[in-house]
Amino acid sequence: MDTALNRRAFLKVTALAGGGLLVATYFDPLTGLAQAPAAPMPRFVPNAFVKITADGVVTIMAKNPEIGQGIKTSLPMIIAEELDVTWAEVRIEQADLDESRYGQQLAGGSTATPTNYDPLRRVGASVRQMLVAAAAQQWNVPAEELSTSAGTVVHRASNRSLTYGQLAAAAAALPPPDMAAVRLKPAAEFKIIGKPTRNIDNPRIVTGQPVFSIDFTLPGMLWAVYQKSPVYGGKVATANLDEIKKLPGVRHAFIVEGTADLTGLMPGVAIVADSWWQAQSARRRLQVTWNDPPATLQQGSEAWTRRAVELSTQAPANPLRSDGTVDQALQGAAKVVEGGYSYPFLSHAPLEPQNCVARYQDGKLEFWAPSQAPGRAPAVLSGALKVAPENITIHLMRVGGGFGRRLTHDFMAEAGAIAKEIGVPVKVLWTREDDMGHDHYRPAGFHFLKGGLDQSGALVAWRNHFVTFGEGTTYPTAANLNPAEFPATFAPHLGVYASVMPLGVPTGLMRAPATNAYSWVFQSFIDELAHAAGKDPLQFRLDILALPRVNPANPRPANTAAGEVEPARVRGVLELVREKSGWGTRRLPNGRALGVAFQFAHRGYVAVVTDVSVASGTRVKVHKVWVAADIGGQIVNPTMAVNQVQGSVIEGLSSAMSWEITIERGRALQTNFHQYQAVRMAQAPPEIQVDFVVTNNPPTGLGEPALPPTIGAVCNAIFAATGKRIRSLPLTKSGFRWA
Amino acid sequence: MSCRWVFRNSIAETTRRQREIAIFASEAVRDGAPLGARRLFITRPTPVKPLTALRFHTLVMCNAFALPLNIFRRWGVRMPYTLNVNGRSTTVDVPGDMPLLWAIRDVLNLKGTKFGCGIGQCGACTVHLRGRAVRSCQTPVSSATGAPITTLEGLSADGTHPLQLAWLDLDVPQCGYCQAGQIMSAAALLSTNPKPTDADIDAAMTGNLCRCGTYLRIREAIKKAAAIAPSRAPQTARAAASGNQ
Repeated sequence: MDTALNRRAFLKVTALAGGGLLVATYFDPLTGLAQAPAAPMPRFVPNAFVKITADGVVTIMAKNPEIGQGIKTSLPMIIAEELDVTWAEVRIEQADLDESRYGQQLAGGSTATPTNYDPLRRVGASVRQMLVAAAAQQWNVPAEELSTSAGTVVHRASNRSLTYGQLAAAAAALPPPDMAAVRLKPAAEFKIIGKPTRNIDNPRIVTGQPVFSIDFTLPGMLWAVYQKSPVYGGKVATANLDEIKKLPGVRHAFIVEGTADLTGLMPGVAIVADSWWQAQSARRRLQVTWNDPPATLQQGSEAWTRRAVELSTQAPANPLRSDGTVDQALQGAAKVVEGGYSYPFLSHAPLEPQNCVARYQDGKLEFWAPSQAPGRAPAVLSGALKVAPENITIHLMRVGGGFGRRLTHDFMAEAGAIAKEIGVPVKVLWTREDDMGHDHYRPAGFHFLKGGLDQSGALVAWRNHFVTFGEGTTYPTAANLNPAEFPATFAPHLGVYASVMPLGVPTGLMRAPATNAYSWVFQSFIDELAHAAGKDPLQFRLDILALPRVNPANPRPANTAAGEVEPARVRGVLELVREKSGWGTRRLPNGRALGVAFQFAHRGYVAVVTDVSVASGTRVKVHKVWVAADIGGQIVNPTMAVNQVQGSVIEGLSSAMSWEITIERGRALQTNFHQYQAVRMAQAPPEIQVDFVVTNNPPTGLGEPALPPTIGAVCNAIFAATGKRIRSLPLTKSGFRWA
Repeated sequence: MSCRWVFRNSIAETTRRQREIAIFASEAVRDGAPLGARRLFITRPTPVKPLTALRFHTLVMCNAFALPLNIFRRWGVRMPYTLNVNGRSTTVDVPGDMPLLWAIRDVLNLKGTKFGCGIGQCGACTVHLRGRAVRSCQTPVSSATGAPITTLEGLSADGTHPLQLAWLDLDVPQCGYCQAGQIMSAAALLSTNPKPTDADIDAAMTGNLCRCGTYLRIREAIKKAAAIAPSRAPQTARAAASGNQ
C-alpha cells in the first residue's frame, strides 16, 4: 500500500547500553483515513516501539488503550508477525501517552485495526530488515541469502545463525530503512496474525493481580469523592463543609467552581480522606444546596416525548437528504406504511467505576487514568485546570470496560482539580450512582417514518422525520443522523428531515454511536415494509439492494465508515447469514421465529439472524444468534474477534430488552444496576454463531458493528413470532420480559 | 444452601437506598426491570420491594453476627477486627460497618476483588466467606471477623485452580473487570456441585454481571473446569499479592 502515511514514516534507531537496539519511529497513521482528526506534524521523537536487548528479549509496546477490545494483544501481534519472533517469548508493555511517537492512541470508533494494521506491519518489517542487514554485514553475504525465523537470522548456505539479541548492537549502528519500501510478508506466511491468540493480560486477570486503573495507587495518596448536582449544570450554593471536615479521616472538603462544560469539570464538592470508604462515609453527611439551571429543570423524557409527537405533525426544520420527490411518490404509492419509533437515553455503565489518580507537582499534572482518548485529554483538561498541555502527563491504565464513556475526561478533570488544590496525589473514585447519574448519555430519539411500495411490492418511497435534540442545525454528540443511511441511494424517492428540541443533559458516544439507536428503527421499518409487501424480509432487503442506485456518492470515498453501503458487501453478509441460519428452511413451533437485520457501521458489514420464542405473549427467549460479518481480508486475532461479536450481541440484547435512562427535571432517575439491568448469563443466548465473509478489503475493527443489527433482528423475530411490532424501546415497556 | 437473613438495621431505620441494597441480584433480574409504567415511550424505575428478596436463597449477604455488633459499632467508630484472608490472619483497625470489600482492597491491599455497584447487584466483589460466595460490598467487616475468607488471590497457590486454567484456555475475558467475581462464584458452585448442569450454572452465576457479555465462554469454562477436576475444592494457600505494577 503506497499511501501518504508510508511516505511520511521515519525510523530512528538507538543503541541500548549493553548491546541492545531501540527502534524509534515516527509516523502519522491517520493520514488518508476519513473521519480521523488530522494530526499535526509533530517533532521527531525517538520511539521505543520495539526494544531488543543483547540477551535476546524482545519487548513490544502496546500503543493503544486496552478497554476489553483486545488491542493490547492484537496490535503487538502485528509487529511481532513482521519482526518474525516467537509470540510466546515476546514481552508486551503498555505505552504511556505520546502521540508524537505512537500516532493516535485512541480506543474509539473501531479505528485501531484499520489505522494501525499497515503501519505496524512496517514497523516490524523494518526492524527485521535492519537485523538482516546487520547479519549480512557481519557474515559478508548478500542480505537476499538470509532468512529469519523465531528471532534468529539464518544463512542456510553456510549453516550459520545469529539471534536478534546478538545482532541488536550492530543493527543499531545501521541507517534505518525506508518504511514505505520494506518487504511485507505475504499473508500465507503469517504465523501470528490470524491465529487465535490469548489476551496477554489474562494470566494476571485470573489470579487477581492489580492490572486495572482502579487498582493503581501512589505512596501517600489520598482518596476523594466528588459530589455534583443531580441536575446537569447545577452550581454549589452552600455546603456544610465545616461539619464534613470534622468527620473521621477527612483531610479536606472544598467547593470546586468548575466550568460550564457538561462533559468536563462540573461544579461540585470534593471530600478528601485517608481512605475511600471514609470519604464516601463523610459524603453521606454532606448537605449541599444547588443553583440548578432553570431551563434544564424543566426538561424530562415525558416533556420531550410530547414535544416530539407535536413536531412530527409539523413541517420538519432541517432537510438532510432529498432524492426524487418523496411526498408525491408516497401519494402515488400502491401501499403506504407509517410508523413512529422511539428509543431512550442510555447509560454506558462500564463495570469499573470512573476513577483517576492525579498528582500535581511543580506546576505539572500527572494522571493515571482509564481513558479511551488520552490523546485528547491534555487539550481538554488544560483549560479547566489552568495547566499547559505540555505540562500534562498521562499514563494509560487497563480500562474495566469503555463502551465510549471514557472518551470524555470529566473524571480526570475532577482528579486534576483536587490534586491541584491539595498538593498531594489523590485518587478520585466514583460510585455507581455517580456514574449512572452523571453519564454522557446515548441520546434518545424519535423517528416518524413513511414508506411506499408499488404494485409489485417494491420500495418506491422512504420518508423519515427524525425528531432529535439540538439548536438550529447543531446536534449534540451522537444525536445526529447520517443522511446516507440505508436505504438511501436505493430508495427511488427519499426524504430525510430533522427537527430539534433543546437539551441540557450531556450526550456522548456509546458503542456503535448513532447506529446503536437507529439501526433498529430502520431495520424494523424495512421489516414492516417487507410484510406489507408480502415478501420474505431477508429477500426484501436483497431486493432493495438490487434497485438502481439513486445519487450515490461518486466516487465513494475509500474510507467511508458508515452510511452509504457497498451493496455487494451487504449482500455477502446477508447471504452468508441466510445460509448459516437456515433462513426460510426451518420449521419452528408457534410463538417462535427468526428475525433478520443488517448494519454497515465503523467500516464493517454485519448481518444478524436471531431465533426467538415468546412464551405467554411476553416471555422472550433468544435461542440462537447467527452473525455474519465482513471486516475485510484479514482478522488479526480470531478468538478476540468472536468474543467481541458475542459481546456486542449480548449488549444489543440488554439495550433491546431493558436499558433506559429516564430524565425528569433535568436529572436521571435510574441510579444503579437494579434499575438498569444488563443481560445475565441465564438470559444470554446459549449459542452465538459467528461467521466471517472474507473480502479483499483492508482489515477493519470489530468492537462495534455487530451491536446495532442485533436489536433489529430480535425485534423482527418477536414480530414474526407474535405479530407484535416493537416501535418503542426498551421491550419491557411493551410488557416483555426475559423467559 | 441454607440462608440466614438478618437485616443489619431495624426496618424502621432502613432508608430506601438500604432497602434496595438488600435485594439479591437474582431477584432483581426477575423484578427489577421497569414494568410498572407501560405508557408510550416513558418508563420510570420501579421502586424495589425489599421483602421479596426473602423468597430467594442464593447467597448469604448479611450475617447473624452483624446485628449485635452493629448496635455498638456505630458509624465512624473504629475497632480492631481480625480478618482471616487467604489463610493469613490480619488485624485491621476500621469502622465495623466498613464493607469487607474495602478492607480487602484498601487495607489488605488485595486488588483482585472489584468494586462495581456497591449494592450487591453486579457480583464483581464476590469472595468466599466460610466457603460460600458472598458479595463483599454487602458484608460488613464486623460480620466477617475471624471467619475464613478467600479472595481470587487465594483461590490457588499458583494460579492453577481448574477454573483459572479453563479461563485461560478459553480466553474468556474481554475487559476482565468482572472476572474475579465470576471465578469466585463459579468456584463456590463447583465446591458444592462438581458436575453442574446448565441450569445450575445459570442459577449460581446470575448475580455476576459481565458488561462485556462473555457469558458463553464463562459457562463453557465452568464446564471445562468441572471436567478437569470434578471435586477439587478451593485452596486457600496463596500468599497475598500486593503492590502495584
